[in-house]
Amino acid sequence: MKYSILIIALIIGFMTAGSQDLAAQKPMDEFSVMVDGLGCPFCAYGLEKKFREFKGIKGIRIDMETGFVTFNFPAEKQLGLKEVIAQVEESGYTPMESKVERADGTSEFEGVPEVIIPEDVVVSDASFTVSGKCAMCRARIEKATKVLPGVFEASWDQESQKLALKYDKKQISSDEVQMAIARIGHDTELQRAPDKVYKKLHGCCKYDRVL
Amino acid sequence: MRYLETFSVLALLIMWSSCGEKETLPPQWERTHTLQLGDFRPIGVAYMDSILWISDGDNNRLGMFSLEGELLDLQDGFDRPMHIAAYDGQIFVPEYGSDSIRMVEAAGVSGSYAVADSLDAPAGVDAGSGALAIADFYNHRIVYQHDGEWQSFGREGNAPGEFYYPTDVQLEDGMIYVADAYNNRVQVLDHEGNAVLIFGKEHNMNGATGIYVDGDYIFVTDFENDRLMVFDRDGLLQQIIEEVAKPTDAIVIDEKLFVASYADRKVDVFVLGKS
Repeated sequence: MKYSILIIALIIGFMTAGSQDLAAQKPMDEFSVMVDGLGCPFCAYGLEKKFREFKGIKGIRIDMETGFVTFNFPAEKQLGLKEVIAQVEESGYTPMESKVERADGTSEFEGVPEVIIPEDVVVSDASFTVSGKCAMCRARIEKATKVLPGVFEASWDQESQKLALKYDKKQISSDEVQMAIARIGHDTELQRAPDKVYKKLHGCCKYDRVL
Repeated sequence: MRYLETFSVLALLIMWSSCGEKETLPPQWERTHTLQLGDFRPIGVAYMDSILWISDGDNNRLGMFSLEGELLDLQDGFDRPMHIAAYDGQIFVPEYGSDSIRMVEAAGVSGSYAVADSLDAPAGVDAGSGALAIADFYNHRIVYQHDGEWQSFGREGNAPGEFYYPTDVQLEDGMIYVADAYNNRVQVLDHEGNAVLIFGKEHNMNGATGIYVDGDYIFVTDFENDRLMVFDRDGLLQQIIEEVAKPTDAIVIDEKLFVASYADRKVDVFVLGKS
């Protein structure tokens, strides 16, 4: 009789523990964002704090080597990929590839499309000064340039402050590229960024203005 | 005309004498060796009980190293530990992620330091002689406690006494030394929060993330430029140490300068040469 009671108690105990585990294992969506410019720990950990503003976030990890930020989020809250991308941009960082694997088996992806240079295009080179201070600046400047129609390559050098550009003059001019860069907060040789955009740059990106 | 001749002779004499003068450089710190930290990503360094304590923010842990670079022990479970400090048998650990200050001994965590105000990403702490100072990163201020009385110094800005993302502090000789990171400068405050000395921006620093004051020197890590700037106590530049990769902190132990490099996962060791 004693043994029967003990066995029944153990079974009830296991069942209770099992139901608690099930409750704890809510379906989760798995997010992954590749962030460019994660060079400074003070800023990267700040990005992590920003993500913690999403109530319910679990297992957030930032890999400083690869730039991948990964976390899980309760599927029932239906966090959108665009909200995640906006949070990264709000923190001053530049998301490159973002994806979510939903608990229901579906997935979403957003990234910078690969640029293919058509064979009949004459590729021109340009180089001009763009103000910036750090890896976060580089990521922001290069992404804003590469997404422009007619731009094939963009590479910014922090030391020289020069942006090297390969582009199609028939589709876009160097001046138009400079205007686009100024719109995201970085002064160029010819264009001054709007003050209100400059003010929103992350602290470590606040370069000394010359224009 | 005679006056002109006299003036010319005097000018020549002055030029000749200045050419003959030897330019004397202050004693320079010279690299002796490097401590490789394995997979450690150093942020802050402190020294207590013959142990070099190093915070590893990326991996949420503290490492206890010998001065020869041997890893003696680990303590983990921190939330982005930053610029640590040793005082009164304790290591003070600012936790950037959880907005708290924890206290640690060799045996483990001994408690939390109750801060009267809410912090937002404490990036540096120092304690000494009944006082404690915290670099409160996102609040752009220094939180200061002396004899139980709490004060808050500064706000966001670049005027004297204002801060733009302060990342490290040190209490020394009754003053508060602040690495005012994204103002790219050092501010020295009195106990009322008045800036009595400001320097560093004129040397184009880019991210003044760590500070250490010892004897005649103020060491400042110039993070983005991969440099350690060595100033005298008046803020005059004495030396620029290069070939450090994203340095975050420095400390002097037994007349040796230890410089932590975040990117290279190492600590470079220097001694003071002769002038």
